[in-house]
Amino acid sequence: MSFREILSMIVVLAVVSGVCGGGLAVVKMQTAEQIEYQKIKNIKEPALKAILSGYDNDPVTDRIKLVTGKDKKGKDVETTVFYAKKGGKVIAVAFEAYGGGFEGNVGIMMAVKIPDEVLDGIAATTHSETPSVGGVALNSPDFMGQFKGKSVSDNFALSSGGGAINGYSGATVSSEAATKAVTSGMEIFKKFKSEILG
Amino acid sequence: MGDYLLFMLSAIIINNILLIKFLGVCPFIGVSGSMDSAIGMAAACVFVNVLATSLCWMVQMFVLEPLGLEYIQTLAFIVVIAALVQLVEIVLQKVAPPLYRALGIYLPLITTNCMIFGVAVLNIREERGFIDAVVYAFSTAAGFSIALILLASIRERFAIGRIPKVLQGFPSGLITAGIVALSFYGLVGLA
Amino acid sequence: MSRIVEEFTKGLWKEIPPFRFVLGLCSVLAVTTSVESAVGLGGGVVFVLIMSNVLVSLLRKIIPDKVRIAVFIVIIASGVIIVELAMQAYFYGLFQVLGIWIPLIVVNCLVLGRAEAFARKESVVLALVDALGMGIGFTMSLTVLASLREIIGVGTWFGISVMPEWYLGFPYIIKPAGAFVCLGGILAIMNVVSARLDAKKREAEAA
Repeated sequence: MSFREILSMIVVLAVVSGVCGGGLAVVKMQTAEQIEYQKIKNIKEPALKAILSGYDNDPVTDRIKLVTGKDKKGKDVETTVFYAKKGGKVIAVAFEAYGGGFEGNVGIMMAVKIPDEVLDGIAATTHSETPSVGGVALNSPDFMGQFKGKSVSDNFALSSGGGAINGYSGATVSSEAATKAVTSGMEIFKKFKSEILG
Repeated sequence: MGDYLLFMLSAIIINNILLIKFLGVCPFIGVSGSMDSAIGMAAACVFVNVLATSLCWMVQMFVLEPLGLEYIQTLAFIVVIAALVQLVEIVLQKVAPPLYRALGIYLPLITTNCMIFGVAVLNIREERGFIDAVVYAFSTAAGFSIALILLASIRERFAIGRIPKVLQGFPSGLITAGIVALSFYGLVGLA
Repeated sequence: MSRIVEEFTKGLWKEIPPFRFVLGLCSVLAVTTSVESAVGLGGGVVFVLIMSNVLVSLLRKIIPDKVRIAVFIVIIASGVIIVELAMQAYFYGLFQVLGIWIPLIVVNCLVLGRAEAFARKESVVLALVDALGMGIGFTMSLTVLASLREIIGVGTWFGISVMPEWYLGFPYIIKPAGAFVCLGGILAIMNVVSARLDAKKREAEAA
C-alpha cells in the first residue's frame, strides 16, 4: 500500500465524517426546540389537561426551566414549570416531581393554584409500576383526588406515617412513591417560589 | 441470583430476540440452511454481541453522555461495531487461525446483523447497568443461537423431503420459523 | 432514458424488496402490525436510501476502495439520525410507535446493499432513480403486508374499522409467529404469479 493511498483513505474518511458531523449538528440545532415542544406535548400534556382548568393559554408554550438541584453525577436537575393563565393573569402553575416506587421513579405532575397556594390536582406522568397494581393506584380518582385542595404546607406522608393521605390498599409502595413525589414537589415550590412567580 | 436466572430465561426463550423481537432475521434466513454454517454463525454472534455491547455501553456512558452527544448514538454505535468486527477478524486471523477458518466468513455479515446493534441500543434505552447489559447481550445471543440451530436442523430435513416447488427456499423457511415462533410464544406469561 | 425507466421499475416488481430482493426482513416483520407504522418506516427508508445513494454516487470516484464500507456506513448513519430527529420534531406519535426500528434502519441491509451493488458504480441520476424505485417498492411491500395483517388481525385499516361488526379479528396474524407465516405466504404467492407470467411469456415467444 503506497503512502498516497493511505493518505487518501485517511483524508476521505476524515472529511466525510467531519461533514456528516457538522450537518448533523446543524439539523440537531434546527430541530431542538421543536423536539422539546413535541416531547412535552405528547408526554406531559395529557397530565396537564387533567389537572389544570379554566385557562385560556397554551401551558406547553408558557413554560420556564429552573435549576432545582444536582443529581448524583453533579449534573444540574431542571424542573419545568408550566403556567396556566386567564386573561394574561397566572391562575395556576404546574410542575413535575419524582418519588422512588417499586420499579424506578414515579413522575407526578401537580398543579398549584395561584395565589391561594393550594393543590389543584395531581396526575401520574411516567412510571413503570405493575399496571394491575401500582398503575391502578396512580390512576385511581379516589387515591389521587385526596391531594386536591390541600395546602402546599400540609404533610403529604401516608396516614400510616402520620400524614394526611390514605394509601391505596394493596399498592402501598406506589402510593408512597406518589406522596414522596408530591412532598418533593412542594419543597421545590416553597424553595423557588419567588423565581416561579417572579 | 434468582433474579438473574429469570432475567436470562426471559431473554433467551420467552422474549427470544429472533422469533419474538425480530432482530437478526437476515442472517437467520441466510445461514439456517445448513447445520455447520448455523453453528458457526451462532458462535460468532455470541462472541461479537458480548464484546460489542460492552464497548457500546462504555462509549455511551463515557463519551456520548458527558459530551451531550446522545443524538449521534446511531452513528457512534455502528462505527464502533464495524470497527470491532474488523479488529476481531484481524486478531483471530493472527492468534487463532483454526477459529478464524471456522468463523471468518461469518464475521463480515455480522456488521449488518441487526441483533448486535439492536441489543446495544436496547440496553441504553432500558437504562441497564454494565453487568446487566453484558448478561442481557449474552442471553439474547444464546437465544439467537438456539433458534438458529433449531431452524437449521429442521431445514436440513427439507433438503431430502418433498416440498411444493413454490414453497422452496425462503417461503418454507419463513413458515417454519412462524411455527417455531408459535411454540416460543406459548411461553409468554411464564415470567 | 429507457435505462432510467428500467432502473426505476425494477424496484417495483422484478426486484421488489423485500420480496424478491430478500434483505432487511427484520424491520419488515416488526413494523407491519399496523399500516400506519409500515408507511412511517417506509418513508424513513426512502429518505435514507435516496440520501445514501446520491451521496455515494457523487463521491464514487474519490472514495478509496478499502474504506468504502466505512464511508457508506457513516453516510447512512447520518441519514438515519436526520430521520430520527425529524420524526421526533414533527411526528412524535409515530416516533414512539416505531421506537428502536428507526435507528435500526442503519443496519437495514437494503440500504447498504444498494450503495454497494449499485450507487458506487453508476451516475447520480441513475442512483437517485434506483433509490426511488427500491424505496417505493419497499414501502409498497410493507403496506401490502401490513394491510393484510391489520385487516385480518384486528379488522381495521389505518385504524379505521373495515370489517363487519361480527368480525372479532384473528390475533395470530398480529403476533410475531403470524408475521413469519404471512411473509412466507406472500413469497409463495409471488412465486406462483411470476411462474405463471414466465410461462405466458414463453408461450408468447414460442408463438
